[in-house]
Amino acid sequence: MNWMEEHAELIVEPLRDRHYQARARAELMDHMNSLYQSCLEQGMSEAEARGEALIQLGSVRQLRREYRQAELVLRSQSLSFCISRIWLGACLMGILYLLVTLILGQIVSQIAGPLANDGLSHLGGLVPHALSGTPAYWQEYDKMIALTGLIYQIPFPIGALYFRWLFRRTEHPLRPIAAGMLLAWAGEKLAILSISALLYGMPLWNLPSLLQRIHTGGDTTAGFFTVPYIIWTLFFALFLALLVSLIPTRSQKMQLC
Amino acid sequence: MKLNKELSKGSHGLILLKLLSLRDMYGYELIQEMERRSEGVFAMSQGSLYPLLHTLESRGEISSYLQSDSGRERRFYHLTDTGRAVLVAQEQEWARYIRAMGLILEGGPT
Repeated sequence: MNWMEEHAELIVEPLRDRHYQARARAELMDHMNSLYQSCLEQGMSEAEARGEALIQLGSVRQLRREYRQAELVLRSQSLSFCISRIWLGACLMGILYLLVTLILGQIVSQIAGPLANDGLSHLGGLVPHALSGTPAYWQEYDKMIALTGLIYQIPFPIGALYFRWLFRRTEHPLRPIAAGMLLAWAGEKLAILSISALLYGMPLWNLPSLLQRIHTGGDTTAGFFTVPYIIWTLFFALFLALLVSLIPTRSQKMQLC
Repeated sequence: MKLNKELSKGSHGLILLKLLSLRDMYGYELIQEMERRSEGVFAMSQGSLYPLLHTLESRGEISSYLQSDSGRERRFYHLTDTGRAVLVAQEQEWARYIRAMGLILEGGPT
């Protein structure tokens, strides 16, 4: 390996994309050769020309950093990167949804559940005994149901912010973020349908029968398959995608300054 | 005399687009042209040219192709239609900037 190859290798070594690394190496070596020849033509000795060429090329540390930045920008535009990040974000939202269901959903259900039972006379201590069965009682019940519904929205804004971070180097992040949020939204519906299909022993592809069973059987997930809820969550997911895509990244803030 | 680094850094992208609007060039040629046309004022660290070119390419403002030149295979860069539109917009912005700075520095209209 001659000195040009060695020097180019020092600069491109941190790059992970082999194709980009090979291209960068070839361009650097060609450039160093042109610099070296130019210095020789000016009357420098070989050692002087080599030294001058390396100085004019720039600091190895600086160049490593710049090449790595360029590689990250290039990678963030590639389809495979987008797909892998969308899957990652959607999986995160799935995990968050599961946590919300297992922890917070259970807490609220335990408070809200007894409200539906006419035999109970209080709201876990929140409503006085005298109000049992009164309109005020059911108002509190509705508040609890609304609270449960709100809690199940938690994964959406967290997921949207995570997508924004994943696509911080992407030139136009709205499309991949919106795609990720849509995937997470569809995944939520599919997951609930799959669990219901498993519980009722019905095939998932027999959608009309499955939905009918969910709605008529007093299933607690029935609320997830009403038109208003479906439209609301779809709109909310896309709205969040639009909102977070407008958040400037650190490099965009630096450019604005 | 070379400019303060921070002052010239932001203009390198525009300079490269402008040079490529004249003709397709490879990296070393771009550096030479930059120095010659600016009478040595704009002279970036030569290795830094390529990451900048690659970033412009990722934005679709330039494209590249391999071609034999003097017996060596070199990567030439070419200004795209997108790059041409960006160049026009940035030139107009620079013209406004230069005019405004000129007015302030020369004690322009009050």
